[in-house]
Amino acid sequence: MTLEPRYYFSILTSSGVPIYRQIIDQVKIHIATGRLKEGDFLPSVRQVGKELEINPMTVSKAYSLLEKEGVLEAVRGQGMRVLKSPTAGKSVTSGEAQMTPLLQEVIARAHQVSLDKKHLINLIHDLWKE
Amino acid sequence: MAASIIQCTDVKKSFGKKPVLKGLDLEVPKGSVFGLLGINGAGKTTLIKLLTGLLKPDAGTISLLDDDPLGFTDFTKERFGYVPQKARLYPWLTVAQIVAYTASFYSRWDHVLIEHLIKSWRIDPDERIGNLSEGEAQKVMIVLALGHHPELLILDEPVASLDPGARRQFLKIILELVADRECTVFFSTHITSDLERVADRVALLKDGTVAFCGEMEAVKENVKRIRIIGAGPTPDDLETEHVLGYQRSEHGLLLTVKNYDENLHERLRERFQGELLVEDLNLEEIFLELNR
Amino acid sequence: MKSPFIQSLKVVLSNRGFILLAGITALSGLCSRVAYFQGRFSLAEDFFTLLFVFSLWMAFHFGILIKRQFANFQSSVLPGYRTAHMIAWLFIYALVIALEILWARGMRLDFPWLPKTSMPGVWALGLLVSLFIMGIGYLSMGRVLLYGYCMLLVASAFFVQVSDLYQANPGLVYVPFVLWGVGLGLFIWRLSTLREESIEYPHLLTWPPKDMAGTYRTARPARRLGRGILPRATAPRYPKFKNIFTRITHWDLALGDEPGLLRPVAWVIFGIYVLAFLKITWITEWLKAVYANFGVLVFTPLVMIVIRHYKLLVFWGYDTLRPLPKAQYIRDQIAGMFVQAGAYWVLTVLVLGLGPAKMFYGPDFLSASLGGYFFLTGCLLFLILSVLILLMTVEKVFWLLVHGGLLSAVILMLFDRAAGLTAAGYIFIGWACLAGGLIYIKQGYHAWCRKEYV
Repeated sequence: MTLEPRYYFSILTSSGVPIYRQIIDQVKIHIATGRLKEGDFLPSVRQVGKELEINPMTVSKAYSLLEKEGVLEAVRGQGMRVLKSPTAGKSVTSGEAQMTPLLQEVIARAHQVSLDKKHLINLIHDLWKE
Repeated sequence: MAASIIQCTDVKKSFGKKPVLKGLDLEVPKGSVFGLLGINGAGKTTLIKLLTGLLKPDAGTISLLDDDPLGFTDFTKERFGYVPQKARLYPWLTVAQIVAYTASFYSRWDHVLIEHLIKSWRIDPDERIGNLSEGEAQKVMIVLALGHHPELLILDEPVASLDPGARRQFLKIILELVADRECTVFFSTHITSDLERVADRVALLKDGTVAFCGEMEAVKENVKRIRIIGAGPTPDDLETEHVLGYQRSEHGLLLTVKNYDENLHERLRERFQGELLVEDLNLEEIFLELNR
Repeated sequence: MKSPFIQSLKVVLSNRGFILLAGITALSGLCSRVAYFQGRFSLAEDFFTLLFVFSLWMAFHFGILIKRQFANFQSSVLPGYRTAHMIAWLFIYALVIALEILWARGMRLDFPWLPKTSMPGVWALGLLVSLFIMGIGYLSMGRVLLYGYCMLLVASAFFVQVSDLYQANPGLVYVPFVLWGVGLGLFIWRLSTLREESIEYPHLLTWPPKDMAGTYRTARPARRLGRGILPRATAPRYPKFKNIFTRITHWDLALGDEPGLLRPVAWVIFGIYVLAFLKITWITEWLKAVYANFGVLVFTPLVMIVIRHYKLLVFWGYDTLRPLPKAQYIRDQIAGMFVQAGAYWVLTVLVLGLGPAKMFYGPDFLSASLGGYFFLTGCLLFLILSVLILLMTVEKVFWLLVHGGLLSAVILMLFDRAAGLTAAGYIFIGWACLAGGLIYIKQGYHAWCRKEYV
C-alpha cells in the first residue's frame, strides 16, 4: 500500500539543493526511521510529479539512482519497491536514524571549510551542554 | 527523426545596426522541458520568432521538427503550437468564435480538453476578446495552442501576465502534457522559480549567445559560490575556465565557479591560502551572478 | 534647461511622415510659384493642385500626430505636458497657414475654378476644411473616416454654389470663419480633457498597421458561428484544397463582419437619392457631372476597402503560422481585397455613375465613351490598390517616395484629362493601368511572402 506522495516528500524547489537529491535523502531517511519498510512500494513517478507539481523526470532520476545504489528495486508492472535496508541486522533507533543524515552533512561541510576530524570532535565537545 | 527537436547552429540576427544574436548554438532534445533564461532584451523573443519563421536569420541554420522555419510544411505546422508574448487575437470575436476559428485549421482538435480548460480557468466563452484583460487573453492564447495536441509547444514568457494561481495551474498543465503526451516544451522566462519546478534543461541567453546550457539539476550541483576569507589581492590569472564571475568584498574574494569538484576545491585552497566556504546556489542566484 | 515646448516641437518635427508631406507641399508651392512667374500658368496650376492635395494629407497626418501626443498616460501624469504640446501644435498649424498665405500673396490666383472676388471666403473655407480633416485624422475611427469622406465629397459639390453665394453676400465670409473658430476651440478643449474613457482614445492609425490588439474595446456583434458553449461540428473547416473563391468566402465568414460597412454605406446612398428626388439643386448638379466625378468613382471604393481591411492587416503575420501554406494565405487575403474592391466599385459606378446617367440624360449619353470612362475608373482603382499593397511592406522612406510619387503623378495626370478622352483613349490607358497594376501585385505578393513580422 502506498500513501500519498505528500506524506513522504517535502520538496523545496528554490533551494540550492537539487530536487532529485532532496528526494533521495528523504527516501533514505524514511527507510532508516522505519516509515518505509522492506517490501513497501513507493508512489509512482507520475503520482509524485503530479502531486508535488514537479517534473516527473526528476523523480524518475532519483528513483533510478536509488535503484543503482541498491536501495530500491523495480518491479515490473507495480513500481519501485524498497529492498532490504542497507543497515539490515543492525537495529537503528529513531534518534540515530534521524541524526545520521544530518551528521553526514556536517562532515561534508567540515571537508568544505577545511576543518579536520579532530577539530570537529573538539568543537562538538565544546558546544555540548550536559 | 533526430533526437533534437530544435537545433540552431551559429544563428545571427541584427536589427538595423544593433546585433541581438551573435552566433547562437542550441539543441533541444525531444521530450524535454526546456527553459530559456535571460534578462529583458537578451534576445529571447527574437530567438523564438526565428524558430517559428516569423523572422529570418542573418546567418546560421535552424531546424525545427526536422523542417526549416522559413518554409514550414503544413504538416509541421500541425505539430507545433506557439504562444506569443502579447496576445494577438481578433478583438471583435468572442472566445467561442476564436476557438472555432482556430479549430477549423487543424485536422485534429480536442474539444473536450479545450472546454475543460476554459471552464477551469473561468473564461467566459461569450466574452469578446477585446474586452478581456491581458491575463485572460493570455490564457485564451495558451488554450488555443493546446487544442491540436502539438508535439512541440513554444511559449514566449507565457506566465508574465498570469496571477500566481493561474501560473500554478499552467505549470500543472505543462507537467501533465509532458507526462501524458510526450510533448516537448520550450519556453522563455525570467521567473526562475517556475523553471526550477518544471524544466529539466535550462539555457541562459547572454550577450547574444548561450552562456551555458545543461540539465537543471546539474546546473545546481555544478555552480557554486566560494567565499575565500582573507584572500590576498586578486591575481591577474584567475582561472577563467571555471570561474564565472568574482567579486571583492572587504573580507575577501567571492567566486562563482562552474564544474565544481574536489580537484577544483583543492586547487583553489592551494592557490589562496585563506579559508574556503562553499555555498549552494539556487537558480535565481545563479542567474543573478551570471548577469552581474 | 530644455524647454518642454521645444521638446514637443521636436516630437512633431522628427516624424518622418510629417516632414515628407511638408517637404512635398513646400516643394510644390515653390514650383508653382516659379512656373507662375515664368508665365506657364497651366504648369503652375498643376503644381497648385499638388500643393492642395498634399496639404490635405498633411492635415490628416497632423491630426493623427496630435492624437498620438495626447492619447497616452503621460498627458495625465506629467506636469505641463498638455500645455506644452498644445502650444507646439498650434504653433505649427499657425506657421503652415501663415506660410500658405504668404505664398499666395503676389500670385493672383487666376485659376478658373477659384472665385476671384471672394478670396477671404475661400481662405476661411480652407481653414475650416483643414480643421475638419485634422479632426478626422484625430478620431481615426473607420466609421468617421467614411462619413467624413462623404461629407467632403458633398462639400466639394457645394463649392461652386458657395462662391456664387459669396459674391452675392460678402458678409457670409464670416460664417466659415466663425465655424472654424468654434471648431478650434472645441478641439483644444477636447485635447485638454482627453482621458482613457474617451471614445476616441483607443483608436490610432499607423502605417503600416501595427499592433492594435486591445484598441477596440467595444466591438459590434459579429456573426455567430454556432450555438452552444463551444461550437464543435458547426465550425467550418478551412477549405485548403478548394478554389480561391471558396477560401475567400471562408475568411469572410470566419472573421465576422466587424465593422459592417454595408449599413452606413446603404444610408449614404439612400440619402443621396432622397436628396436627388427632392430636386435639391446642388446634389443634382453634382450627380449630373458624371465626367467630372472621376475622383469620386475611383476613391470611394478605395476608401471603403482600405477601411475594411486595415484592421485585419495586423494579424497577417500570426495567422501564417496556421497549418496552411503561407503563400496561399497571402494570395487569399490579397484576392479577397480585390474581389471586395471590385464589388464596391461596381456599387459606386451604379450609384454615382450609371444611375445618375440614366436619371438625368437620354440614351445618347450612354455611349461607348461613357463605358470607357467607367472602365478607366476601375483600372485606376486596381492600380492604386496594387501599389498600396506593395507600399504596406515598405519600410524605407526612399521607396515610399518613389512608388508614392509615381502613383500621385499618374493619378493627377489622369484627373486632368479624364473628361475629354475618346473611347479608344480610355480603353488604352485603362489597359496600361491594369498592366502596371499586375506588375505591382506581383511585387507586393512576393514582398508579403518575404516580409518579417517583427
